[in-house]
Amino acid sequence: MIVNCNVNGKNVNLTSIAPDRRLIDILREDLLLKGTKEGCGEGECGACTVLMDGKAVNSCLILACQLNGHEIITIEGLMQGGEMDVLQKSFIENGAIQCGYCSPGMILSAKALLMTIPDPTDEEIRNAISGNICRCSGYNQIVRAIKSASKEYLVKKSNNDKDE
Amino acid sequence: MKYIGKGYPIHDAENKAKGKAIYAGDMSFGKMLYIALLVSDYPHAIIKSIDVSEALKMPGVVEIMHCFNTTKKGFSRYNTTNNIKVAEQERIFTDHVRFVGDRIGAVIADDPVNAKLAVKKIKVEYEKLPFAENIATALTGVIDTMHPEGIINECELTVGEKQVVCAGDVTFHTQTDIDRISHIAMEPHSCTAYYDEGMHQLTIWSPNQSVYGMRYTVANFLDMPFNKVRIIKTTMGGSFGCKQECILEPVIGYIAKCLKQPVQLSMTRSEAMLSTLCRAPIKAEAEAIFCENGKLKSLEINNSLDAGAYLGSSSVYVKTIGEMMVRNYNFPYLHYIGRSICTNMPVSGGFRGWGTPECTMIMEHIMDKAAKLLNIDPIDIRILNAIQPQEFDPITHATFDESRLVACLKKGQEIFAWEERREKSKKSKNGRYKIGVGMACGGHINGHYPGKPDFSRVEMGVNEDGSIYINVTLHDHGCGTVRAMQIIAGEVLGIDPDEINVGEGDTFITPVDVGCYASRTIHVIGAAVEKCARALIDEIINQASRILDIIPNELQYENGIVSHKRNHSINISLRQIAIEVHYRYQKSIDVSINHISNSNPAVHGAHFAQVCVDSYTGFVQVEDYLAVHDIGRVINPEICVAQIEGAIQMGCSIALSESMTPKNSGTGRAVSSLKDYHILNAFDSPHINVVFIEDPCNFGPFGAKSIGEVSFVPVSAAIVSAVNDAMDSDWNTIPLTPDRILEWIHSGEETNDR
Amino acid sequence: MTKMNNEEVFCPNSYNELIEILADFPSDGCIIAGGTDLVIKLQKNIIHPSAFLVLGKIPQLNKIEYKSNYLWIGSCVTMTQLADYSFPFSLQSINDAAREVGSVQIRNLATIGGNIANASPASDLQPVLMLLDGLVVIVGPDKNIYEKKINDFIVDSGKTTLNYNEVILGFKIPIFNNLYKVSIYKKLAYRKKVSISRIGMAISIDINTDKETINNATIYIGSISKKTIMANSIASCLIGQKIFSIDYNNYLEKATEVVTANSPRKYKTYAIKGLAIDTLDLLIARSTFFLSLNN
Repeated sequence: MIVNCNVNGKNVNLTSIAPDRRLIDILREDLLLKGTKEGCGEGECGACTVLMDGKAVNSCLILACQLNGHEIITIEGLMQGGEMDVLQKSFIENGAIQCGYCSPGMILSAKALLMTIPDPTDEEIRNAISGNICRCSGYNQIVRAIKSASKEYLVKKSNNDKDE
Repeated sequence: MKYIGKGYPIHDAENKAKGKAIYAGDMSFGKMLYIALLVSDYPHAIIKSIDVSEALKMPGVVEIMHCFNTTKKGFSRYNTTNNIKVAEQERIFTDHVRFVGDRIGAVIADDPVNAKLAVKKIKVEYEKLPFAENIATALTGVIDTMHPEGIINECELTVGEKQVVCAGDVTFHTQTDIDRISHIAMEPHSCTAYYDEGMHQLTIWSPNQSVYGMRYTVANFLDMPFNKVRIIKTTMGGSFGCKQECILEPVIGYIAKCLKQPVQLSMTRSEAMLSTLCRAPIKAEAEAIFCENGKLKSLEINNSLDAGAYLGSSSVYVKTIGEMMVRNYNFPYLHYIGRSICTNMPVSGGFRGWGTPECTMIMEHIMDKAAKLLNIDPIDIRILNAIQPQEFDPITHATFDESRLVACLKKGQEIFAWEERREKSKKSKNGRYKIGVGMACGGHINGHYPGKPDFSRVEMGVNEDGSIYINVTLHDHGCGTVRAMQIIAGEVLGIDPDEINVGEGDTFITPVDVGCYASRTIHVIGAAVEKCARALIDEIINQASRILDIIPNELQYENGIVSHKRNHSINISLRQIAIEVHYRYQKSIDVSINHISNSNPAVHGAHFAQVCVDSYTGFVQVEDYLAVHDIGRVINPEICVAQIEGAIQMGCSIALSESMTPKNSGTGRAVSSLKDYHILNAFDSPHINVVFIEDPCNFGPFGAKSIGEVSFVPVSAAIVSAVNDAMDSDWNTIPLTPDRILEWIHSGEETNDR
Repeated sequence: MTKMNNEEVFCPNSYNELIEILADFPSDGCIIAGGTDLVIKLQKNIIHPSAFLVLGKIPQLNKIEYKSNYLWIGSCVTMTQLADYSFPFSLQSINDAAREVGSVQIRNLATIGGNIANASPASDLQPVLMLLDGLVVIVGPDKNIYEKKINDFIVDSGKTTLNYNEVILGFKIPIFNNLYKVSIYKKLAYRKKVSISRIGMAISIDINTDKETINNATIYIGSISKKTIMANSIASCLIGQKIFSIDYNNYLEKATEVVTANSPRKYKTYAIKGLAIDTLDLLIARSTFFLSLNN
């Protein structure tokens, strides 16, 4: 089939795709976006998390035939004009990255959270990332990084609002 | 300290945050082919036939290899150096499958999905054989002929003299049961390989813990000269021991050599759980004798370890559990018998701590029980038995050097408000929610010393722009060892760690090294890096002396500048020296050193836990946790604390929730899905406090000792201790699942001791 | 790129397009809502469907709408949408159940239709829809729309009466006239979050106008048998009781009896005590809150 969707802001038109080809395979093999990782293939570990229409989803569970008309953001799509997203910087600065395999999925889950709850509590943060497994940490640095990013987003937003 | 003790992100954090870090399964070459494995569906069988006709018709299939059209040569995943000679029981593809997950063959196709689809079309005819799902069944003799060497390996260890029992001595028995668990590194095993037929050269990219170890095994297996086998360590998405042994490399090396095109194998989670390695189940029985005053007098242990289908490292692992018994407490007599027994289950192998966590579970339960029987506080009894600084390891005779076990225990007692919490928790014992306060401590190692080989070669030099390069064989697991080396060298040289480039293992480029395991990276390789940096300063001064025509004694080096001791206006920067040396003297500023480890100090962690047990549902919540570590020196506190918290999260999860024991007993099919293998997640994680006791030891870089494994060593034991306190029980089985807890509560059987 | 085997893919944008497709839909075809259960089955199966019918684009299937005397929940409504929707107190068990399905990522994809069609014994929505007398609305190849009680729709573990060329359009949840109706759902799993249910209890009570006596109670229990079971014996313990002084002991005894009779798992027969207490606690808390709002 033909897949027509938007990935990281670019329109994507892929032909000859099997309808049951998984989104994670389309991203990694067909679009060569290797940032999205496969940790389990069953929707249990969250390593393959991407944003679909702004919501965090497991790309290992989405098929090509479900993609038409949707907007996908992968970790590669978080950078804006060569600048890292506030969340990416916050993860680096707060020691929230070790082996890095869970990081793309974790950062995107956090991004989805902050897009709907700009000032989350610790519990809301842990709830939002409870579908992302990190085997290297106890999640404290990750929670701190997300909290810190949320504060910075709010500052940025209020500065933008002042400018307007 | 300029750089040591300050927090830094790991060296490639930015790459990982951007999703740009390349793991072995991300590599992409033109005309690359993809491998999907065919593994056994049965725990023990002979393959009668394989029909690939339907599979060959599937789109994209290039080749199908299996046990009937590939080499019968054997290898052992553990034979990674010349001084290890375990029986070579594994084939890359076998016609005698010995566990569910054993490799039978592989499809090689143009796309990973096509390869997997084709595997499903292969028809295998099995002749089923009797199988043993556990040690008890194996010992009935049903699989005695599974390996020509037999299935049992036994070791015996005696330390000290058998003791005479005196009046007042207390003797008791304990039993420890540990289920099979999986590492669940987030990156399932992958590797990429290419055989260059023009150069007769094989290159394998894999996340591994010893490029030279992998080379040794692969080159021997393929009958290739070592200098034609290149192993490159890739960015590693976690290991915890699962990437230490040489499992996939011989397989992909063979396939690459046959096909002469780049090939890649990325395992699924299920394959990583079943077909690589896991941590062995153990069943240990112990008899302990304590003096009335609480001093441990004698320990007799009988330990059985389930090696799984192939021997691998198990015979050494079970011995190590015994050897680690003497790293924490000083006592006159240890008699340890360890047996590793093969079964038809996934292969057991190295796991974070390499036996010390299991040893600690056995030992700490004994300490808790003695404390109870003798009415001594659990911390006091440990202080009484603790090894002291400058004592010697009775097995290796290496000095324990600056052991701070007692300091850790006392500090933890104070910071955790041990007595207060224990008093408070007593009030909850009649309610539904029972609070328990427990603790455990453990001692680990820093490398192999006095075992050999334990040396590290380091080359260090100055680039023409004044930046520094270090050539050393590192294998960063994602835990920040590359960054740590940058910090250590930076501290010596007075140069920002970001201006120091440190590569990782590549057998064509980096010097020979045993590998990054056995907690040797910081203590041994780090010491080598520190030594080398100091030697580099000497060389820098020598060269500056030549350039400035001033004797070296009159010169000093500081933070990248060499200046006259008495007249600082006479100075020259590293960059200037480098350029002069390059063009004038036609050489470069570099040194290399060979550091042979001469130390293995005691290194301890004392952990304290408060849990809440819901006695109606069996759920255990770890509420509060304190880890006190005798670390010598913290190189990078930010990542160090993150590591320790990760170890605690992992240990809690293993203590309460994780098990690969088959869902349906009698199928020989271990759990291999995260749907059934339950890991504690972000919502379950405890509140953690980490405290360091930084009394530098007399060895290691700036007195630093290891942390990555010792932080994991006491965790499960601490959780068991706390649960036993809550439930007034005497359990020493993990995982302490809700099912087990409720079963014990309701059966009225509160102990698994004899 | 993978090669195609000439599979047909249908993505109807309207109800009319859907029923056209159903007329000729092949028996080895595959219907996709969220896909979270299906994709895993497809990965394991050797069978490759010859046709895919993707339901996500049909407007009625994505709506939650109040009609005259019922609430319409389209079959493609996701768990997140259900979790976030402001249901009245009488239907809040839907929020409870939806909130506990999997992780955020799963909830964003998983649909109520897929959940019910999958008929897992551990489904969280099954007990709740039965509790609320939900009807499943189905359309077939002959354009025939019909309704079925959930209990009649679900036959066994993994089995429903749905034919290969039928589609669940949505669910009708009756809107109750009882003034003081409260419903809850709570489950016991392997972990606190992101875990499949081991026992799931869905409870609804009707409180008398005296604002304390329980006139009526209904209880459904999931995950202890091949499909959700109705637990009248436990429910009857609540009838006639005053909401602020319920006799826990009787309730616990009955709950233990029911679980023991239905589940072979020893753990569940013990652990039901904890879940039963927790459900009563939640029921009382929610009722108290609800009643205080209605002063």
